[in-house]
Amino acid sequence: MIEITNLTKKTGQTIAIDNLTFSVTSRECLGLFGHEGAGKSTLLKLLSGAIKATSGTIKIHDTNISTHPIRAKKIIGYQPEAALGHGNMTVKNFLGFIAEVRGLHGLQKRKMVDRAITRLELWRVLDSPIATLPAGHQRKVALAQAILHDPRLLLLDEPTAGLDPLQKQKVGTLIQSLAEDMTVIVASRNPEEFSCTCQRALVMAEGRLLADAPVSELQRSSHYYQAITLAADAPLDLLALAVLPGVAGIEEDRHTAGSVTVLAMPGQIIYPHVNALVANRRWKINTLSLEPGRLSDVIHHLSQEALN
Amino acid sequence: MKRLPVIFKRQLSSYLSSPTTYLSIATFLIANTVLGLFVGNFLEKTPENLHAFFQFHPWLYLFFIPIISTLLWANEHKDDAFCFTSTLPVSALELTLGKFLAAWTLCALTILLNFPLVITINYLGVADNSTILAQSIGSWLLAGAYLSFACLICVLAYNRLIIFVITLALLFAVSTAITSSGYVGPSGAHLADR
Repeated sequence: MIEITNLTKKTGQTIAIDNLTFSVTSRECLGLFGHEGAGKSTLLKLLSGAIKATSGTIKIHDTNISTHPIRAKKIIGYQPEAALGHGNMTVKNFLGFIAEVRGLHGLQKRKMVDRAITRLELWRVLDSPIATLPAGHQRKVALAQAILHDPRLLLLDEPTAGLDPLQKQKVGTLIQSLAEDMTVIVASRNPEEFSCTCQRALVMAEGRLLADAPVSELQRSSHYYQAITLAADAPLDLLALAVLPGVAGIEEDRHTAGSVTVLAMPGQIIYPHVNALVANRRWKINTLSLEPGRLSDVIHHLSQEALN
Repeated sequence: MKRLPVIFKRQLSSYLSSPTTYLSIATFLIANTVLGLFVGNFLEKTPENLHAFFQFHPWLYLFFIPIISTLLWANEHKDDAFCFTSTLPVSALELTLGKFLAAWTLCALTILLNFPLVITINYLGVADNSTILAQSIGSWLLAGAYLSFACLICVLAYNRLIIFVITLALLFAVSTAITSSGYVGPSGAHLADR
């Protein structure tokens, strides 16, 4: 159980974190979402013990991080957004060093290092210096060192930044499996990537907490909840779509020709009507998808409201 | 203090993997030999010990210590990586002491690399090995004292050039103060003069 009470961090005159209070239960996967400069990374640094809070308390499994920092750090795994340093070390030596710092020795050290290497698929780059690796691989090394010692709290700062789509999917699956054994807090500017992974989301802006709700609830508050996205080669009859019962509006995708999103009014289900129209008109549709709601849309609106 | 050996080992291997380390050790040894032979007149004065060489150590350390101190926190100062180091379960004492001891070990290694001179003295004539040992320990202790000043500067400054310049200036002031107080080096010659 992680308890954060009245947490504030000031840097000079700027308030980076403003009186945050929330808790995270064991084996919960929590998403920290918000625009750049919202305070997500600062919050993770405070939770990891990298920086000290101006006021407030952080308790990680009944250990106060300000009074017992070493004890708390032993049960935390932190993947920073910035570089790890130690760029001239090879991946293998770096993971070995972190394992020793984490108190692992001998057979246990080898076992844990090998497991982290396997989980992040780092075999090919084991003997390469970290600084020479591409950003995606450096991110995977940062992830590997964070999960090396089976932490009880895993803090991930932009874990998928710099990864290709396939690697993003693999890391997403890994985080999902890790969340079964430990508490995971993920900070990201791309909430859609973690909408399936996280059960709960905190939305932040300018260091303040704007929303603390289950991901599904946030998705339901999106304009795109229950919206239908259609893509066709030929232009669609937008008027026919707009007059369907329960339709709130239509959005054309400027980047993809022939792709439109039909928005539903709150509480309305438009899928059967759209489906019937497509069947009646015999439109040749390439894709038709029902949207669960866009987290990025909700976060954008909440952030804009907070700024105004 | 369980993590102290890990930090020490890591820092020492970081030193030994840096070309700057080898270059500065080589420069130190060459300068020391040249100064001892040609300025200190080693062969004419005290061929039974290494006073002619060790008397220049306080001045040679003026350059050697700032160079190795710039490598002390180089990894942590790069790209805000200190933030990551702070998340590891290592106390500030373990981290600082581990790094200091690694740098001090490097100084010991540099002093030990004077062994060809000791062999030469023993080969050529009567060598006072106990004095040579005392001179070496004295030099090593002086390096430790200088290094502690350098560690202080490393905490205050991030930029390697600034660390080098401030440490050099501080050590120059210390060296001048030591010399003006009558101490002439780690050879113990000032005691013999009394």
